[in-house]
Amino acid sequence: MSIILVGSPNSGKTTLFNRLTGMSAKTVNYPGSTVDLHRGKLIGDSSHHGSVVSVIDTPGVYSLVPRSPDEVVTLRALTESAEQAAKQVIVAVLDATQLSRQLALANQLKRFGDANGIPVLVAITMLDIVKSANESVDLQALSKELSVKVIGVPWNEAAHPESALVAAIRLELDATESVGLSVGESNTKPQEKSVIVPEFNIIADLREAKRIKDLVVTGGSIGSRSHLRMRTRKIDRWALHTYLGPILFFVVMASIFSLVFWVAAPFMEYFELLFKLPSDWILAQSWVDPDSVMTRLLTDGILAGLGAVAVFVPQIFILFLGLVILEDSGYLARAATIVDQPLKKIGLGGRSFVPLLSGFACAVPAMLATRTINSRFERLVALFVIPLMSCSARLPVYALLLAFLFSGNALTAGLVLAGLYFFSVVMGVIAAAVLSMILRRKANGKVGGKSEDDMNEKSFLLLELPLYRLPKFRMVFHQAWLRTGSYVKRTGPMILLLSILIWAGTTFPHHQTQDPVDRLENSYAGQLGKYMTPVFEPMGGDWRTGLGLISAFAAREVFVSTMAVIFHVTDEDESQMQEGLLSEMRNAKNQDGQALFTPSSIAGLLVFFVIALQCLSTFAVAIKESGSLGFALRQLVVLNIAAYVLAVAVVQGLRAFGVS
Amino acid sequence: MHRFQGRLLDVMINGNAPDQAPLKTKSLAAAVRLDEWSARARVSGGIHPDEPRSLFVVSVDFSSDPQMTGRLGDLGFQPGEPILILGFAPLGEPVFVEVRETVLALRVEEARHIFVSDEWAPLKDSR
Repeated sequence: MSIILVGSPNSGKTTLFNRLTGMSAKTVNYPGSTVDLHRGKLIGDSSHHGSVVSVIDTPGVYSLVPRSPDEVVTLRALTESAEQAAKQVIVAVLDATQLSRQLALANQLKRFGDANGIPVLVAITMLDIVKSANESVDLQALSKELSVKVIGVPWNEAAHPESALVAAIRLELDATESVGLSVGESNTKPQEKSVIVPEFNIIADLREAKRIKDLVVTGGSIGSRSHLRMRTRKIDRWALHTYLGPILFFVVMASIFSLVFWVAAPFMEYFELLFKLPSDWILAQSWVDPDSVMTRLLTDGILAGLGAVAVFVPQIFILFLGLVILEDSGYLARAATIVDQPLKKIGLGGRSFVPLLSGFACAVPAMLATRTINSRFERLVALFVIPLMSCSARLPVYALLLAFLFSGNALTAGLVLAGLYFFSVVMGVIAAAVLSMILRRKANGKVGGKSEDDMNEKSFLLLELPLYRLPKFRMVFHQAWLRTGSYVKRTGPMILLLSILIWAGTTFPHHQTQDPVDRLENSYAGQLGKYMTPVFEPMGGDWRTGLGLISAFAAREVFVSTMAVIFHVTDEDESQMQEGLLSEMRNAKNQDGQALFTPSSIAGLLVFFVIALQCLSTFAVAIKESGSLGFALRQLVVLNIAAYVLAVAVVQGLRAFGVS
Repeated sequence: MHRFQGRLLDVMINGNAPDQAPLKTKSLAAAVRLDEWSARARVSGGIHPDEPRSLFVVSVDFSSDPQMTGRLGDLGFQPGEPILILGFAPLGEPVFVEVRETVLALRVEEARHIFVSDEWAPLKDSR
C-alpha cells in the first residue's frame, strides 16, 4: 500500500512528507531538490489491515507531461505503482498562494486517478501565508469543485499520527480496500494492470484552475495579496539591485565560507578525538600488543579511516546549514539568477550554481545536486568541474603545506589560502569553458552544423523565485543534519575501505619489522612510490612524496597522516605533531643530500592538490551521475594529468627563477 | 485513451501539443517577442520596482523546442494570459516575470518564444 505525494516544486510537499513519515528527506525553497524518490513509513500505526503503508515523495512537477529527467521520475512512480495494482492513494499537494496555477496539476492528477481507479486527495499548504494577507480559501467549495476530499495542512503543525490528513488517507485506503475486494477477489496475486494516461489539455486545465481559484479564494481587501508580494518585491529591489545585488551576493557567500572555516575548526578537533581516543585507549591496554597486525588494522586502518570521515562532518554540516537557510529563505534562487549570465558564458547556468557551491564542502553531494539541471550538456560540464572546487578534504593538506611555507605568519598564510581558493575557481572556469567548447563542437559535428544557439536552447533556466520567508530554525537544523547524514552514508564506506587498503599497502609484506619507517619504506606502497620516483622527481619530490600522493586517493587529508608516519612523528598532541612534522620535513633530504621540501616543491604540491582528482568516492559518484564510465575515466585522467603538468611547470619555473 | 507505453513515449517526445484555437485578435499585429520587449525596456530606463509593467501573452511558439515551450505553457504562458514584468537581474538578464501568482526568471532563450502585447482584445472569445 502506498501514498504518493505529487506537487509542484516549492509546494511544501517535502515538509508534508516529513510530517507524514516523522522523518527523512528535506524541504526546500529551491526548485528540484527532491531528485530521488523518497520512501518512508506512514507515521503512527504504519500498517493498515496487516500491510505496511509507505509514503513516497516524488520530484516536483508543473504538470503530468514530463519536461525534465526528474519529472519523468514522478510520472514513472505514478504509473509503476498503478501497474502493480497495489492499493494506493495519490495526495496532490498544492500551495495556497499559487492555486491559479497549481489547481491545473490537481485536475490532471484527478483525471489520472479516475482513469486508473486510484483515489486522489488534495492537501493545501501555506494557508497561513494566505491568512496573513487577510484572505481565506474555502476548502469546502474547493472540495466540491474538484469532487475530491480537500484537507488544509497548517504549516507549522508537528508530525502527528492523528492529523486530519492521516485520518483522510486511512479512510481512502479503507474505501479502496472494499472496492478491490469486490472486483478482484478471485485472484490472490495482484494482476498487472495496463495503466491509462489520459490526454491532458493544459490550456483547459489552466482555465479551469483560474475559474476555481477565483471561486474559492475570498476575502481580503483589494491589494492585500499584493501586500504580501510587495514585501518580497521590496526585498528584491535591494537583493537584485544592479550594483547592490552583486555586492550582497559576495557578502553572503563570503560569510558562509568564513563560517565554514572559523566555526567548524574547534568542532573538527572534537570529531577527530572521537576516534582517536578509543584508538589511544586500545594501545594503552596491557593485554594489547601494539605491534600486532590486528591491533594496527584496528587502530591505523579502521579507526583512522572512520576518523577521516568524521573530521569533515562539522564543515559539511555548517555549509549545508548555510545552504538550507539560503534555500528556505528564498535567497538561493535569486543568487542563481545573479550568476546565471556569467555561468552561461562557460556552458553552465544558474541551475549549476548550487551544485558548484556545494562542491566547496564535498564533491559527492555536489554531484548528486546536478540532477536538477535539465540539460545533459550543462550537467556534464558541471559534473566535470565540481572536483576542482576546493573541497574541505584539501584544507588539512593546505594547512600543513602553508604552515611549512609561512610558519608564524598567519596573515600571509591566510591570504595565500584565499588565493588557492580563487585559483581553484579560475581553473574551474577554464575547464568549464574548454569542455563546453569541445562538447559543442562535437554536437555540431554530429548534427551537421547546428548553430550555437540551438545548443544553448537545450539548457533552460526557468527558475521560480519563491516568496521570501523566515526559515524555521528547527526544520533548517533537521534538514542540514539529514543531508550531512547522507554524505556520511555515501562517502563513509568507500573512504573506510580505501583507508584499510592503504593501511595494508603500507604495512605488508614486512609487517613483522619493528621500525615503522623501515616497514613503510619496504611496503608495497613504498615500493610503488620508489618505482614511480622518476615521475615525482620533476615535481621536486621523491618516493616519500609519491607515497603521500598515492595514499591521498583514500581521502586527500590522508596525505598529512602518511607524512607523519613516513617521518615517524608520533606526538600525542595535535599542535606538537604538526610542529614535529614540520621540523622533520625541513630536515628531510633526498638521495642527492639536498632538501626534499623547498618553497618550490611545496608550491608544486599545492598546485597539484588544487587540481588533482584524488578522491575515489568522487570518481564512483561521477560514473553513476554521468551514466558513463568513459566520462568519469576521462575526467580522472585529465584532471590528474593537468595537475601533474602544472605542478611540474610551477616547480621548474620557480627553480628557473632561482627559488630553491 | 491509449495503452500507457505508447502514450508515455508520445508525451515525452512530442510534449503536449495544445489544441490552439486560431488567433483572431487585433493585438496580434502589435505583438512583440518578450526578449525584444525586454531589451527595449532596459534601454529606455529599465523598470522601476514600484511600477511593474503589465502585458498580455498573445501567443507562444510551441512548435520550437517542445520541452522548454511546453514547460512555459505548464507555467501559465498561454494566449490571453496577463503577466507582470518585474525587472531584470543585475546583469540585464534574466528577466523576472510574474505569471499565475508565480515569479519566474526567464533567459532570452526562453523569453523569445513568448509574444506579448500591451493589450489583449480577442475578437472572438476563445471559450
